[in-house]
Amino acid sequence: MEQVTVKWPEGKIAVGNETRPTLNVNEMEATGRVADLSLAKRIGLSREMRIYISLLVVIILLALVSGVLVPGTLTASHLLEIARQAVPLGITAIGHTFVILTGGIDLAVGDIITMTNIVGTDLMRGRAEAGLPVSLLLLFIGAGIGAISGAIIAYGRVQPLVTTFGMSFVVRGFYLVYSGGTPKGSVSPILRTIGAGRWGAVPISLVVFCVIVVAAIIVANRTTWGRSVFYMGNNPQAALYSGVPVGRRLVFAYSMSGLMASLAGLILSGYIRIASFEIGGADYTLNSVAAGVIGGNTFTGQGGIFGSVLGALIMTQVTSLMTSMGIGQSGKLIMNGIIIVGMVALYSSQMGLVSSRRKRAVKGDEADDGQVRSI
Amino acid sequence: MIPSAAVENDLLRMENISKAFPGVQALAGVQFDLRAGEVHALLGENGAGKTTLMNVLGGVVIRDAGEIYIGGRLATIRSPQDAQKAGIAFVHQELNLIEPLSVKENMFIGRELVNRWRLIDWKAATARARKVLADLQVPVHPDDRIADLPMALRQMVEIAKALCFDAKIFVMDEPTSALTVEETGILFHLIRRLRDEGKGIIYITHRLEEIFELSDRVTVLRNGRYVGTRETARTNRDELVRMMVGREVLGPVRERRQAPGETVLEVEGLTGVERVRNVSFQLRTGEIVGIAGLQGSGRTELLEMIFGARRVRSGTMRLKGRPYAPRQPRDAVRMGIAYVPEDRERKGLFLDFDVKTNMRVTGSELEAKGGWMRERGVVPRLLDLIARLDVQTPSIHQTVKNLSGGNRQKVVFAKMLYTAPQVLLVNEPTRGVDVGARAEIYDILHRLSEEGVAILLSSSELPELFSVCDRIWVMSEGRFVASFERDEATQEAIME
Repeated sequence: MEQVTVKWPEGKIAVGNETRPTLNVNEMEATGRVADLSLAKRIGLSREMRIYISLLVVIILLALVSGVLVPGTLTASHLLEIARQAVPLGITAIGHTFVILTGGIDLAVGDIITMTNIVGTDLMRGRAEAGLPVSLLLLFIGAGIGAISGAIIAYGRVQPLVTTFGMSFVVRGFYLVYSGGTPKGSVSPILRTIGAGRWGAVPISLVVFCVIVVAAIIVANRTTWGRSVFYMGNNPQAALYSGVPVGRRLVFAYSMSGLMASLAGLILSGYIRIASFEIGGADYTLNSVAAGVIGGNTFTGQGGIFGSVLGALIMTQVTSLMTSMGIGQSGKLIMNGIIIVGMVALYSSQMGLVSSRRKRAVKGDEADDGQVRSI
Repeated sequence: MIPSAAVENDLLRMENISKAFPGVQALAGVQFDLRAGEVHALLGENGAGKTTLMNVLGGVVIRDAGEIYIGGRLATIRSPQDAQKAGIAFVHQELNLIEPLSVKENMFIGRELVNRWRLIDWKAATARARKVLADLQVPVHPDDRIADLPMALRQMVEIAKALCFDAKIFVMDEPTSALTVEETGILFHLIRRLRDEGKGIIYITHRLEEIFELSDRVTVLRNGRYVGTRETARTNRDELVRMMVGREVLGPVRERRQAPGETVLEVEGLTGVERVRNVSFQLRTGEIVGIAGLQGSGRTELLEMIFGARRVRSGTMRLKGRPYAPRQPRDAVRMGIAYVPEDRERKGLFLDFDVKTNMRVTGSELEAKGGWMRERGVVPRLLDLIARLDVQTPSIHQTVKNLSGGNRQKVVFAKMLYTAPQVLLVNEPTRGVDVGARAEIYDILHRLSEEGVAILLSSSELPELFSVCDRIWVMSEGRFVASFERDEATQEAIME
């Protein structure tokens, strides 16, 4: 098929061949027709910005509270340690966010993390030269598992919950059989350096994490692949009718989730060094959803990667604080539950973020008349 | 305030209603009254305040000032529940019915009939539902699933549901926008019956014809202000339009003619999985061809097959002489075919996102190189489109949810025009759009055709097709049954 390239008649009108010059942006703003206001000039910040700011405030407050309640925690080294602890959850949450934004969920991430550990340690057996190839292989497998889930969801039209729930059993079954019930092996020294090493005071894994955060934000905001995740979550049908190849993009979203889960698994393995069913992979499944939701992501395509990063940080801070105060696992769970629901309730009430679909059902077409008419 | 004598005879009286939203005075001292046994039309362009006024009545929006009297008594309406208790029922553009459930379940939602064990009494519900439906002569069984019913019957179920709640005041917001001519007739019949039984009906519409056909009185709002109330029998179209727009508006007429160019799209024996049967036609550059037909005649299916959104069973398409077989809409837009769908909220827009995002979705997919979105020059291009289509928005960062119907439609057009299409498929472009924006949309279509775009326009409104199109094809039960040149077509001929 011949592809029509989009015409960009600079200095010419967009919709046809009339040769009047394109209106100058400054001229338009000056005439007040329509404005492309810069962030600062807009009335109020965007939803995401407001959420990020409030999350940063929460993070600072938590650090201060912790400093008061548990003396000695308000030091650079302790804060860096908290950030390091947040890395595996943060990475998982970044991947999971791509799926959450499409309106889906990936229940297989926890088992992908554990699988990465079991298979990775077995294949590496502490050999330095095995570190890189095995890591790449596992990343490929993680992304592949996600891609299969995505393809089943997109082309088989099976619900994400059902598909990934099933996938989690398959993955778990696989690593149980693979290990024969007794996991053995240890990670390559390279991975150990990445997982547990430091450059001066700074954990290497934290540096890796920062790179991933930046990369993920760029992918989410500056590529059509990333943007389409938001579109599909907000209105899958409109996405399709707008020329978004919905099937491929769903596969992409779930691949990101699988890829990030196996990356988190590698870094976690590098830290604990050995094969173990007890690395807590399963916890990451729902904790990564929680981090995304605390970070202001909705299942209707609103939110962003950075929110999930902050969400993961908050969850880690709270867990760490409660550990140092001697509060047990059950207390932590209760606290996490309160934070998740509390934050979302805050977003909904403060920012009018009740799911737009619900609002429409209740109010009918209110917006029809609540609009700004003349500028 | 002491109710006057006139007030006591009224079913409803709203006085001095004001409401401000951030940045907009949606209503400023508006008055409205409704007598028992009348149909009172509420007219105004989008943004005039009609829907806000009704939302005040429905307790969805809390008014800043003003009084509401129901049956002569001051009423406090602060929630939708209050409104329901006061006997006010809404039949919205978007219905509040739960599709997977049955008619009777929907009719008694929130007020289930219970037996002495406090369990739901389905038998009683069925009987009651059957009686109300029979009284209204609505051919629906209480056990039918809502999802299986056509739009017209769903509305009637909504009305029946309201009657179960002893509603006295019915607010109908553009109820015919999704109905065929026949369905509209049945609905009007039902509305007249309600009126004759002494109910009051508030009828919101953009269509002047309906006002003259149905209403007893008409109140016009403009820019959130009360303009006036007229007896329908003593006013005319021109006066109402003047009141509505505040200026004279010319009816849309296509004057300038040009010879159509070469054939861009050839369709041969196209048959779909749904409805469309053996359709063949040729579309030339610079012409506007209309497709007339009832709802369900296969118009939407045909356009969406050409756009790659529905499966083709057999037949071939050629675009500029080359075989064309889109597997998904993406293929169509890449090849220069654009589609403005009939249901813009569902198929066209991301309501929670801003104007910029919505307008560039399709374009950015096409422009992207290796997935990287083009950023340079995008904003000027969007501003240019906004200016040319005259989209009323304070900034490109405005959330689309906050735009009026007409402006939302223009955003959908802009999204598609961004890709500079050669063939534009347009489906019901003026549904739910006010008079002013309607004329602008016709103007956009004319300008595009002058620029050489081939346009296929599907519409259920014959006057629209007459004033816009060069040729009109009539579709019935999935087939093309007739075709007319613009000059020879008459409304009667097409109806046959």
